[in-house]
Amino acid sequence: MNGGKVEMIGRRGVAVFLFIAALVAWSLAPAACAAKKVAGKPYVIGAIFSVTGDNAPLGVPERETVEMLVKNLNKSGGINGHPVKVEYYDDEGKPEQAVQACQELISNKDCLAIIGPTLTGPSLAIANMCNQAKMPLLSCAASVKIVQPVKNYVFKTAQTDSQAVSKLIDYCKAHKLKNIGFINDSNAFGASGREQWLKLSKSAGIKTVDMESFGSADTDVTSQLTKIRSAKPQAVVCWGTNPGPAIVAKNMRRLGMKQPLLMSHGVSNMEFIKLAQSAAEGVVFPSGKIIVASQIPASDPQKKVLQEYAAQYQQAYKKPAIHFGGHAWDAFQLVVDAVKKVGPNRAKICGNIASRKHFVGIDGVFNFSATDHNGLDKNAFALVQIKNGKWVLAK
Amino acid sequence: MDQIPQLIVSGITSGCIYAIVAIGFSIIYGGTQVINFAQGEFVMVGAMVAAVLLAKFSLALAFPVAVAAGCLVGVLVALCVLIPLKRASVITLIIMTVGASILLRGLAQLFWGESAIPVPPFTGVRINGIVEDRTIHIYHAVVGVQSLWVVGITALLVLAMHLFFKYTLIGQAMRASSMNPTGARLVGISPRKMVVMSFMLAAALGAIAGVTVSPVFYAKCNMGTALGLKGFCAAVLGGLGNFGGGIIAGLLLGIVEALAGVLPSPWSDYKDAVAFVILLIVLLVKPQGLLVRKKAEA
Repeated sequence: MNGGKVEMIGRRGVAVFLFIAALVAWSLAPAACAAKKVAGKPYVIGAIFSVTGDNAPLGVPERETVEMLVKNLNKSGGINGHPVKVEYYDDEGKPEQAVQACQELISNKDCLAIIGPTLTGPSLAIANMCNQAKMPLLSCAASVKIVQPVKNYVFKTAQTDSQAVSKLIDYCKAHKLKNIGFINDSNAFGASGREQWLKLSKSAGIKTVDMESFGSADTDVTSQLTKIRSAKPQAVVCWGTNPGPAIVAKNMRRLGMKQPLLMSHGVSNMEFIKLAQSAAEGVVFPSGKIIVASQIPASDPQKKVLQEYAAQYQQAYKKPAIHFGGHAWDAFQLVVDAVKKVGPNRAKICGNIASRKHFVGIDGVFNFSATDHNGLDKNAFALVQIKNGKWVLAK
Repeated sequence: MDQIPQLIVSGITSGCIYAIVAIGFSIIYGGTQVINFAQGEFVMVGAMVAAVLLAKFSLALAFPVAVAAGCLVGVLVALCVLIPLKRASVITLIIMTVGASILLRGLAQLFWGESAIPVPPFTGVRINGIVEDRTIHIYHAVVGVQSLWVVGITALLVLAMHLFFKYTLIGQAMRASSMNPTGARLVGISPRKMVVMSFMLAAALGAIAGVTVSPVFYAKCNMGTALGLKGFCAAVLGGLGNFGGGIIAGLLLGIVEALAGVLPSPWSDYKDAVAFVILLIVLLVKPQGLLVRKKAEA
């Protein structure tokens, strides 16, 4: 090949490449934040959600919830006359993207706190960063590892997986299910659930007869399920986020396994019912109370706040509110309340949240303390069963 | 041990798809010496178009439209390769196909969203208004009827390809063009037409595979990546350009992968890596491909 030719190809190639790159960038770019009119100096809050990628069904309602709350807040005058501006980032469910977003937010000196990320992996990736930079972080992810050991500046609003596990263990005990087959997604959520299950089930006298796992991108888990089947468990517990659990449910029914199937709060969205179809029938899982807001007794302290959020979200987006949006609701509300009280100071905001008691949110009633940066107990969960494609309180 | 038949059944289902993707790689490689990394995306386009259409229309409409959409995408990718064909090296063209695959994935995500879409099986039973797959029992294994469709359609496609390349004028022209481009040009075969044909054919195969397998796997905008890479492994294992080798390698790969799932956890998480580990070993030991008898003429 001669030099001149190479040069020509080079130029043409570069042009075509740039064109493709531009198209790709355009197709992947998160929706640019719409510039709003800013009256006075706005208070900035960072938000990192997995709006694209496998976990978009979790991240999208979180972002929508925050958008809705910001709109309402600014309509009613903002915080002490200051409008609130949220800088949204999409981590695509990837830790490295979350780190990048976090770095940008930390270097933005107007940013008061970060809400999110949606998932455990990205949350763990940025927790220490935020703590060192003294940036309050309110994670929306499940794993207890985010707040244990306690880091001064790191909180989380989502219920912890250990609470979900104890709720399920209560169910197993009540229904005399003593031999359990366990299967988990190998992502951070599933691995953390597996750890908690091992720890808590043993002390509850439940025997785990087989433990399996599957990759998040697997399209077939028949291999693992046949192994569980041969261990003859009384029930199967599956810990993961969609679409894995739906494939587990389908494959299990296809294999003719009739055992009750118990799952995690990772399937607390319509997506699961849509994907698993009739295999979703009868599945029991712990969930935030929001998806059964109309069914919980009036004596529940959260009843009012849950119904308000459910109605608002339904009106704004023409779809029912789910478990995950609630995490963002609580995180946003905690930050806003704190700023209202102590003003725009990261350290003071953090101090306010750490001492917050009896905050009635969507995920539960929070009582934060110096040693508990989640502030919830297992009562934050309701046990929900899928019947005729609908969620009902499990007995 | 009674799990083995079950695993082989699910391995054969994935294996068939790997085999079809591998044939696609071989067709395009034969015609252009290009390894088309957008091959998996053809499967995705077929699956997604069918998934979207099947929500409203019957399979009789959705199937051909999805395959036509796949062909169209194939032609578009072919144009990406064709425009700089004369001036660019093969490696540039391969990188172009990588770009095209990223572009296609991004567009699919933009238009159809992130979530997996459930697709009704071809011949299912209606339960509560949702069409679900029937199952039959073979020996110790439970087999979804859709998996039989996958196997049957793969067999038909393989036969059709064989007849096409052996007996039709276009097929013979494509073969001639890949064996001896200059000679083919001398007898009046347009190499550009042959390139477009090979991409279209590979895309059609991919799209058919996508439509057929989506009821088993769900349709998802990023499903093409893994399928494409594993199909590539199968194509290389079988010897690029060698159809029979690709088919056998694809099936073997699917089965080995499924069997790897019984490894004790956490090793079973890595069953996706099996294909690549095998590929690495084969490339080190026998780089011309496992199932090639003599070195292919360049």
